[in-house]
Amino acid sequence: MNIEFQLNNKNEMIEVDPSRRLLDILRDDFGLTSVKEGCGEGECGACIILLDGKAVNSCLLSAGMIAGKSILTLEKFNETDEYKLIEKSFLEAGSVQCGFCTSGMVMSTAGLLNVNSNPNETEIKEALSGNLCRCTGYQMIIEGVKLAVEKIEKEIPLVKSQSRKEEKNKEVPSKQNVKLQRKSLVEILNILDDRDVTIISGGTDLMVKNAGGSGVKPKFKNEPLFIGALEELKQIKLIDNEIHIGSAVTLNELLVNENISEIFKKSISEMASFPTRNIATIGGNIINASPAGDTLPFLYAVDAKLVLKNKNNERMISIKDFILGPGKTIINSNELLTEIIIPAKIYDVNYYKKAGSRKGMTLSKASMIGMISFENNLVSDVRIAFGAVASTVVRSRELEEKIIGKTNQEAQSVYFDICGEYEKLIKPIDDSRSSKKYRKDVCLNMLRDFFVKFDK
Amino acid sequence: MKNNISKAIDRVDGKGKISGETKYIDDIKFDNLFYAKTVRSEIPKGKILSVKIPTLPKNYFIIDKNDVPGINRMRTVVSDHPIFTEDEVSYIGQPILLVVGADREIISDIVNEIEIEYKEEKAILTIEDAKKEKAIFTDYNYSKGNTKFAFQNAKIIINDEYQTGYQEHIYIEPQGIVAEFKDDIMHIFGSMQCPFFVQGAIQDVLGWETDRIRITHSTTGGAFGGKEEFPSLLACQVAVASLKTKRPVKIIYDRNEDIISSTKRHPSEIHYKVALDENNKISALTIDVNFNAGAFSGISPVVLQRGIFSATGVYNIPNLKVMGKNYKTNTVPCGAYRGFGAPQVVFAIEMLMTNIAKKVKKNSLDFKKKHLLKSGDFTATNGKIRDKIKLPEMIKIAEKISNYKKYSADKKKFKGVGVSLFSHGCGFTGKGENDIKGKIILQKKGKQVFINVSSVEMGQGAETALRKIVSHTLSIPIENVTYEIPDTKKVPDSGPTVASRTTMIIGGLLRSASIELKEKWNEKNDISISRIYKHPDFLKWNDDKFEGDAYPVYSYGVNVAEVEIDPITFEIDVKKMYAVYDVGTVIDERALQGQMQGGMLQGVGWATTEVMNSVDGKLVQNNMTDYKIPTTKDMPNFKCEFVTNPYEFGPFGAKCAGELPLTGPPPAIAEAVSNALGISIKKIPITPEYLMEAMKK
Repeated sequence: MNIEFQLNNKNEMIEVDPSRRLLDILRDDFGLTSVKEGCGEGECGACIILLDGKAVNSCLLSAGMIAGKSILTLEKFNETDEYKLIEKSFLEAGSVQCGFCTSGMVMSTAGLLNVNSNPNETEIKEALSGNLCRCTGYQMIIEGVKLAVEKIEKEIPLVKSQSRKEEKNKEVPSKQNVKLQRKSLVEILNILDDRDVTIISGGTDLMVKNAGGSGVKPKFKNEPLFIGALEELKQIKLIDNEIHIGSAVTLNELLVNENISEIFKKSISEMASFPTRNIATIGGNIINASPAGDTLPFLYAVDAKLVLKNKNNERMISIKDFILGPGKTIINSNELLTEIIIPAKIYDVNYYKKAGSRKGMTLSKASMIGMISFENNLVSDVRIAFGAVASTVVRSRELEEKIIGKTNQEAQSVYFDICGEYEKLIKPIDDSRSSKKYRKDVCLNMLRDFFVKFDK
Repeated sequence: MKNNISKAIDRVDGKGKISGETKYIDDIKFDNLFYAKTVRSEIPKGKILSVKIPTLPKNYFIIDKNDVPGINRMRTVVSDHPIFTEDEVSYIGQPILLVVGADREIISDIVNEIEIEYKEEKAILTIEDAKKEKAIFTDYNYSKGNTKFAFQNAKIIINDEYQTGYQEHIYIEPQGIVAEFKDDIMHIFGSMQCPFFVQGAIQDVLGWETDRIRITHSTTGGAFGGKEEFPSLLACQVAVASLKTKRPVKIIYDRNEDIISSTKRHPSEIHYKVALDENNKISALTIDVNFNAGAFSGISPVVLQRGIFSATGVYNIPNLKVMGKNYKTNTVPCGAYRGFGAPQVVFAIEMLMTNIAKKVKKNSLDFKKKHLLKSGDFTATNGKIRDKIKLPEMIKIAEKISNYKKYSADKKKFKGVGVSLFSHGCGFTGKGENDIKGKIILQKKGKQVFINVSSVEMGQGAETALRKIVSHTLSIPIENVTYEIPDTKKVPDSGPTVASRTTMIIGGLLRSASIELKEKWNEKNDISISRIYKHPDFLKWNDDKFEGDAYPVYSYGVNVAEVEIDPITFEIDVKKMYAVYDVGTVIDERALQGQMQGGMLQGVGWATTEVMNSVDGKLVQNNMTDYKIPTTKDMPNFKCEFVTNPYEFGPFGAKCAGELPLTGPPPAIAEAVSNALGISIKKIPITPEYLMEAMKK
């Protein structure tokens, strides 16, 4: 198919198989070799480019996802004044050794500066958490970014804002010429009704699961259908004390939305890496139905409702009835998950803990969310859910009800009973990340920790 | 230009890398290029009964053992790895054949259609299995003093055992080589540490003389030992492919392929028997070092040598018996990785010291200090320590910068500090350097000086360091010194880029040549000065008995680790790593900081998150998602300092550096964790799973 997009400020139209990786297109078709392949699974960050100004792994994007978008690689970014100061700072700070991760580091820095012109060390670490480096130990890269921020602020503050404005002004008129090539929701639902397709939202899982390796396009089960750019699926609205989240809202979009609760944000912020969260969507995380999906414990805890649409109808279903097991849901092939509805209610004490293999970019070995509210010194509601320790999220309303209506002291006294009951429900497995035993123990530790926390 | 050699300058290769302009092997254009994809064994051990190949489209080829004109073995220390499998496979991932052609989609389809039928045989999968089956590649031992007497008179005898796991290099640039057969010359380009190793390997596989084999180095995106011997295998395969197809053939590994098939750090089991005398001093040690070498021996014997020669760490052990074995198992072959066998045994000896100290109720640092080697003492192999050992002074600095006394007195649960003391033998082991006799050529044409060496830039800063050494000696700007890209047609064989010998040995030869060039500077004609390494006469080594100077000199380090353990999940947070190093003279402060911090984070990873297990001969963590190297969120805060202790034969007094930083963190972290939780740590990686179980006991 023909795809129009903007590449390094120039409009391009290419005839391409929509499942081909952007990484291959940039390197092989356009000779943009600053974009490196280090892993092909969205882990190393050597292939990071800017997609509409945001840092994204180009190995996780396919041609079908870039229609109407603007892409910036280091080949163009290195002409800017901002870049020149980054270069100077990286040299001064000793940020470079083998150099293979460096272009990705520079592009992640560019992406960070687009959203935050004065980041602190924690924010820099977060922004670079999707860029692996094996040479430097990172400290001297972080120093380089800090230095660049200082230099940009101090030496040419005007140029920075000017170039930003210019760039934005340049972008808008030229991008209007680029055909969006986006289908409407109605068109999508018609296609779903017509034939079997593989729906791709953010693509961060499907692109890896179906990867064919360098220069080989991912092989999807059916013809890929890209829904990630659908405006109808990208809204977050507060309606009657309920938050309606479009299924193609990205994880980073959730993190900056004022309606989303801090505890949900905490669980999201520990997912994947910064660039992956720029494209990974909440709908994708739900449909994947992975036992380790980290949005799920929260969504189960709040009894999230899912809106499924087909050409003619829509139905609403609670998440616990939607997910059947690992990778299995009740969705029909002609249906699309369009919306996730969660209550806006905030609990008094909120607890989230995740055990992973490391702090950045890690899948859960086990996780727990706990939320509790009190009224007149009695527990008015409590929600407890565990992730990654059974085929689906573990939650029991029956056990929660044993706590409701009790004083804090009484609640503490039922802890041992409840703990024993949860122990029966938690059925983890041994896998490449952890062991059955550890997962169970850590869940029970988390449960106790939650009880200790709300006891205060 | 009277500035201090240590003063930092900008990396000469920095700009090209930051701007994205530098070309790595996969970025270089070749006309009429073919790609190659490897078909590999899917079973750990067995005979190949049949290989079913689909009908190949025009201009697509299968390259296998039948295409090898010369010897079907990769030349290295022990040349036992087949270039292409013959009848028998010995590990999962062993290369059987290549599919070669122009379009990677078509190649991928062909690969998927190939069917291989095996007759599976019982595999040896662990060191335990190998012990039972007596599957041993290498069996070494040496001794010193009278261990028998010391054990007879011991007050206490302690038995102990330590284990370390695999470590994968995770150079961010995967393995990649291009072979181009043109004008009767086999020309190899690629990511590698040792162009002349590759040349030698090609010589065997093609059966040609070296004048028809040319190797050109391409910018290498990290190596850490992983591109020492391993690239020779890829190079031999694509050379055979290019010879057959008459086209340039490129092979670039996907990450998963790289992880399952490339060499790794040897997993180890190390047993100790300790004799303590009436003063609670170690009077004798029996050390039994066991490495899992994998399916082929390759470079493993020399890795084991360094392991056993480093087995007493920085301590003076008068009576010693050391045994070392490389076991043959049906798992991925292990090979060179930064530190080369030493980090395993240093972890073990440091933890042994910690645990004995605990047993005799002594402070571990005091106990270690009581055993420290000093100038005039003898090493494990009875080599005389000629240089000053500055460890006592370094320990004081480390204590000061880390506020060690305050933190170690703080007995808060789930928080701890640990200290490690360590050294690294500089350059090749034993007579290695004398065997290689590295050669360099320094040329002056007009105002420009050219460095001709086969030592490569792979991120460690070799180009900057070597140009700096020459320009500094000649008092000319660094721009007037050119580092020629290592190309076997143009540069002499200075030996491989390994073991920190680039700065110490090659840098030393360049410095010596530069001094001569300086004297001749005003001569009008072009000048060419060469140097061949000569082993200093005072170094004595008996390779049969393993006796004498295993290394010309040692570099030293002290690490302090500060950790916090999550009381709920038992995840380890390495908060801070402090280090004091003696690497002789620092050639470039900033470049060395980078080497040290980067090496330390590799040590942190190996000690904590980098879990790699082999189950039924298959690596469970076989991609970057499952094999976890530290991210920006996992790094500790680093603080490294240096003491100056010049080595007479190093350029400006420089010794080795790159291996040292990986060695220190694992024992320092393990001791810190042990102090935080009040348990003994016996193996790395220290996983939360391991800690949770240990805490139950």
